[in-house]
Amino acid sequence: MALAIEIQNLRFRYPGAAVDCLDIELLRVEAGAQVFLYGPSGSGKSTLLSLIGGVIPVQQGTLNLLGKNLAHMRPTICDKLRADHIGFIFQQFNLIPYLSVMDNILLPCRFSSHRQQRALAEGGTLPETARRLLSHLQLENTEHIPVTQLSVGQQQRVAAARALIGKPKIVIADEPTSALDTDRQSAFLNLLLQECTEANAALIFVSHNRQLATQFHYEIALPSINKAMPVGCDV
Amino acid sequence: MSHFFHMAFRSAWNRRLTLGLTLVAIALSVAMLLGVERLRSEAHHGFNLSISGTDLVVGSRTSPVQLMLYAAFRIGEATSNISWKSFQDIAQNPLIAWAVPISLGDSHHGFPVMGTTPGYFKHFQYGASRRLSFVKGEPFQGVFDVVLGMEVASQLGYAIGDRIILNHGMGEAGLLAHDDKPFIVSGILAPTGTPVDRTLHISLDGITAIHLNWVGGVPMHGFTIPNEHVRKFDLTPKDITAVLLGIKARAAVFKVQRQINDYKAEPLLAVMPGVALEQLWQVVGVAEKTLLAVTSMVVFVGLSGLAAVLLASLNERRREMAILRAIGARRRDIFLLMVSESLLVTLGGITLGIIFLSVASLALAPWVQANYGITLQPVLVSAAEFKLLVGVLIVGLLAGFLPGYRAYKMSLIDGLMSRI
Repeated sequence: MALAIEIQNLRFRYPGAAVDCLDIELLRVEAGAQVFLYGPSGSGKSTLLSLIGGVIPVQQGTLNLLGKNLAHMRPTICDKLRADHIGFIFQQFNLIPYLSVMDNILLPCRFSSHRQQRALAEGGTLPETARRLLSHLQLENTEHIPVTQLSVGQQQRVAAARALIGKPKIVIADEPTSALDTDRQSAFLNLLLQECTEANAALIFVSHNRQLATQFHYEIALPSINKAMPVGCDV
Repeated sequence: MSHFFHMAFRSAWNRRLTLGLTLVAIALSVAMLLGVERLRSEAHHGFNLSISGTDLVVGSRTSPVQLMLYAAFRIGEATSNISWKSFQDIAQNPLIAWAVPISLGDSHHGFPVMGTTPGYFKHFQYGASRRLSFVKGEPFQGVFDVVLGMEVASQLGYAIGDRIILNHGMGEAGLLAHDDKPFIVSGILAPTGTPVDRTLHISLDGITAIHLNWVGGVPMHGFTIPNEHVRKFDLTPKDITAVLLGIKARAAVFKVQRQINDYKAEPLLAVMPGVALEQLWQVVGVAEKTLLAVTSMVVFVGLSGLAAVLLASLNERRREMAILRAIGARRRDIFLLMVSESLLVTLGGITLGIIFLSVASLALAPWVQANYGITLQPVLVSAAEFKLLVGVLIVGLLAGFLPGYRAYKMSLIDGLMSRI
């Protein structure tokens, strides 16, 4: 089975830091897999996600994203890879406050013609595709509401719609449910899992709440695979 | 690229209060810069068009610029006059086509009164060789006839046949009146856009007549001469302020000028209007450049404010930048977003500045015309002003580079910043 992400002997140290923040021998995520990545704070979680996203450059080791090694890749190529194939959902404040719900969801299509073509390939116009996602995520008739007036739960679902539009190969969700209460947590998670299955996207769901892990194909604990000292990530 | 401007616009609109104030500051500074440039060019334009067809202006010896200012533009006063004898000698020079004497010093409600001969209406030219014409009436014939410039007539509401009292000296208030000898409006000149519009023209005889009973600048106490009796006196003037000359062959201008400057009986000065104006611009040029530098500085301050506002907003926008990066924005895009915002605000400032200036020009045009004799043309942007605006736009673009570069650097350090 093709790999969405493959990490081998990846080491990362922040400039000026005495020790490494990340030292990972092996990490693999298959295409379409739904993975729970257990990552308490200080475990190098944000750094790992920034590296996978190609937002910060790989220093040492191999990081293959859909078969392409990000090490020594030009930053703009990394940016294009990220724009084309990865959807991000963060803990909160995911949305650009001055853009409408619709504009927020369509942002990836503005930065990536690849995502735009895939969104259009689903049939209909871009707003129609966005509306279909909104309705799947139970957000009908929200497209014209200022994003600042949405509830936190609604904002997270808009962020999910944005991450999923144009069917990226990888969705990375970093603590997307921690700002939600328990009922909404599971509702959001179910929707997200369902949509990722439908889009055939690999989902890497990062959380410190291990109770959620049962719904995933498998769990990876970052503290156990990261051999670097925890202090290395305190920057 | 268009979605960038869309985003930049939405982002700027989101912070419309701070950016709005900055925009207004830029608009005011742009209006100031353009205003200075416009006044400068209109002054040049106006002065250069005020007199044409006159080959030499002759007065008592002073600086050429000063002679031009009082003789042609009615600005300032002559320090001394030239004698009637000198005028007659000059006028008899065979190289001269025409000579028109003028005599200044009196006024009417702040408008200058000029004594001259009927030849003035025939020979004086302005703009592109345009001659004076009458909208109503005719040149003065009697001693107490007066011909009004268009502005005098329209501002004071005079019509043909109205009686006018002239004042002794220049200015608005505290002047002695020639109230014993009222003048009657005989004609009104068509508007010219030159100082002629602001002038009351009377005959040289009239000038002499109203001063018959004056000694040392004041009327003789208890001694008046009724209007009907002035013709009994010799009204030939003793002296005049200046002479306008037309030369038969232009090649002879230098020769006549030299002859007049070498005139033995009295120290005289003959200047060519174009040359004197050139000297004037050289004198004024330093002040103009300084003013332009100061206003440019003000624009620079406004644009620095823009850079400061954008820089200050960066910290609260770190999250926004990180999201954009995560979605796929290149660092170059983050830079471009900041520069687009800066460009948008600068463009907005320029547009508003032009509107400010246009409104101000329309509102102030009559006042500027009345007080400084400068006609403000109702144009949107002239070619020279456009060059200045391009400069402003470039500086505005550069003002976006600093916050753009900061955001660029920050997005490298922050990564996805999911901890916040």
